[in-house]
Amino acid sequence: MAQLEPTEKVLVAEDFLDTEHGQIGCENCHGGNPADKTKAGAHKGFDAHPSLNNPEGACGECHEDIVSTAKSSLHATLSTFPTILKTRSDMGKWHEIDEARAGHCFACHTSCGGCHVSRPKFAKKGFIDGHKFKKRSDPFNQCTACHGSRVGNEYYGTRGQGDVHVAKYDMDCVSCHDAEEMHAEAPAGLPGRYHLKEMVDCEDCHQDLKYGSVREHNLHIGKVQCQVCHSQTYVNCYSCHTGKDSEGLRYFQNQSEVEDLKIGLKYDKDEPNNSDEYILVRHEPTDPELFEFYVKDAFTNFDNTPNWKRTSPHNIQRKTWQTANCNNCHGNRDLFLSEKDLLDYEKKANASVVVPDNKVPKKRKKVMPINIDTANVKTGMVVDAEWLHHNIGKKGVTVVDTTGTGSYDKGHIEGAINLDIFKSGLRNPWGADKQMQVIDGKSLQALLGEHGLKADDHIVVYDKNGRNAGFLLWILEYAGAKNVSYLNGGLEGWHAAGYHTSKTATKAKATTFGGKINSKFYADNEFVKENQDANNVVIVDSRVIHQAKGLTKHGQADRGGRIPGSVNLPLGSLIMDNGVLKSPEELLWMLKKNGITPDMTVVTTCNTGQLAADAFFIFRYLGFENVKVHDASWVNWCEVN
Amino acid sequence: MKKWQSRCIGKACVTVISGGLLLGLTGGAFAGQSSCVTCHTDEDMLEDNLAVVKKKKSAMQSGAG
Repeated sequence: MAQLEPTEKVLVAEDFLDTEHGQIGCENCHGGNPADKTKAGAHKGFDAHPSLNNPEGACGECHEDIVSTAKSSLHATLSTFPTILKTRSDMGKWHEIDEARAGHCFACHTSCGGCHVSRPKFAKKGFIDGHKFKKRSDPFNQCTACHGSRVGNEYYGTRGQGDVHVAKYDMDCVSCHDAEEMHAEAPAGLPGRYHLKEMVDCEDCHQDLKYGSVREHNLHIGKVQCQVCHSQTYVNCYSCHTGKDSEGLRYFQNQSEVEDLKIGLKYDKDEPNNSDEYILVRHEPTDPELFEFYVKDAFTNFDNTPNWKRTSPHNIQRKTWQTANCNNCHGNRDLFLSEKDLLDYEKKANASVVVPDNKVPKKRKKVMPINIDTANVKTGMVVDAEWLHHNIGKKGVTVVDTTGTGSYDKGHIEGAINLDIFKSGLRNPWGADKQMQVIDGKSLQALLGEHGLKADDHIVVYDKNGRNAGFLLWILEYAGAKNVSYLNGGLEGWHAAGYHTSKTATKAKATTFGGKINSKFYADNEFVKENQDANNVVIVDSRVIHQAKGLTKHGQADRGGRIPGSVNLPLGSLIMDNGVLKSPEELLWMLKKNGITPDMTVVTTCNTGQLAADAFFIFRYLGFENVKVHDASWVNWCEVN
Repeated sequence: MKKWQSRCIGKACVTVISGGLLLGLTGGAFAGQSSCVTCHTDEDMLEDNLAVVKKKKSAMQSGAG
């Protein structure tokens, strides 16, 4: 979501004045003094958020029924936060604890205006459409402006493949979370959001599954939460545990060891309309010292409620790795929350969520085989931290850091060469002729040589999440490099394996790159256009769903949209947020499910070619022989088509 | 800035005055009649009178929600 300019935030559209709300005087809702001649005077007593501060006065006069409950809705009051905090608190200190809650947790609340006219306060405010009121909330400027880093990224395919509800059925947030739920009263003391009786449930639409034709539904409905089987493998985000950095600025942190989602036992026995025994849980970033900065020993009763909480990922697919084979879950102890997953301070709190060994469903003896052939996977194209640590410095092994110059200076793998993919001139700059297209072959090879790279060397590339490294891996293969690898998990994986980094820059010794340009790895607009309808060619669009659907567009693209006939497979479905690749078997299964098999010619495309190049590398790793990157992709396509 | 100057005498906005008078006479107004919209529908004037306020963020901040 792009930031709004200060003017855009408060610019009222002329046609707003013709709407019903435009017929009401501004001061009737916002106060202030229109009679005053000065800016300061006119804004004296002005309330920028009247629906938040005075919902009855601002909205209730006309929308009395809605406001009577909506003013106490979850979005307005976050009433479950105090409930949970009280469960953990030393109530003798509640006043101070509540003050800290109001300052931090309560910063995210919103009211009528934040869903119907402006971006919510937390999302830096500003009108959505010139102060015109919208009955249906805007999924980008409103819903995911707050629920973005987890829900929005899952739903639209930044993390994982995206959600079938939008990918296939164009459903937005309000399609499921309707007005009845959004406006529902969430009274003080509500034990949790799943206790809200108006809360949407999968079975509101997907009815009678237990008695339907899918055998697995007959067996699992009522025992297993839908998301256990239908959400995709991914890493949880780093969450929102507030801390302060060395400059005293607030940030959010979490321990990487608790990033995974797990299957747990349902701990909340009072949750209405839910008989599930197994639920999906994620680590809530809390600990007994969460409010220590404000209140000493606030959470003396931390053990009273779990901090591995029920979760509902918004990355639903009909077919997932869990549904591919019974034994992808059955007998797979690692998927189920165990005591060893818990940090020391939270063992008691989560005792009721832990799945004991005898509750992990046993491996099934007879299952349908998945039949995925992994024989052609080029395993050497992905190395782990241990391999690199063992081989670094050996003759013919070159390591390249693509995290970016600033990041490189802060710490890199010792001996790694810095190659900033954005600043090193691998592509023609914005605004230039052939903008964003890779430079000509000879210049490219010369530039790589200047960075000390040789086509005959084993070149290992890393970054933080695979997005930069993948691009360079394509460039290298295109330029003629014969042996390239990606460091799985990147810099974080290196740290996690216990290895250190260095701040001493490695000076590259200029050399001759050599090699021969591999034009078979390159596709221009002509090739894409000629092969749009070819049966053996698939154009894979690696962008997020909302861009591929034309709901939003890249800032430099002339228009939104997609190449006709392309298959949208967001990059997040191929590589996880922390730069770790899923197993080749899972990736090949997922591709097959999308009609993409190694015998096909794959052309990867995106906005500028970067994500396409990342996807290129993964296809190559998986054993696809005919893969091409659509150079400068959509930005380039728009200019001529 | 030119536009702002052309509409103002000193720092007083003519339309604000007239809008205020109208409000005083009628005791209330539609948004279209309010003096507020004189400024808030004028992009150039808003541009000239609003400054960008940038809050420093921690480099370690990753987001929420």
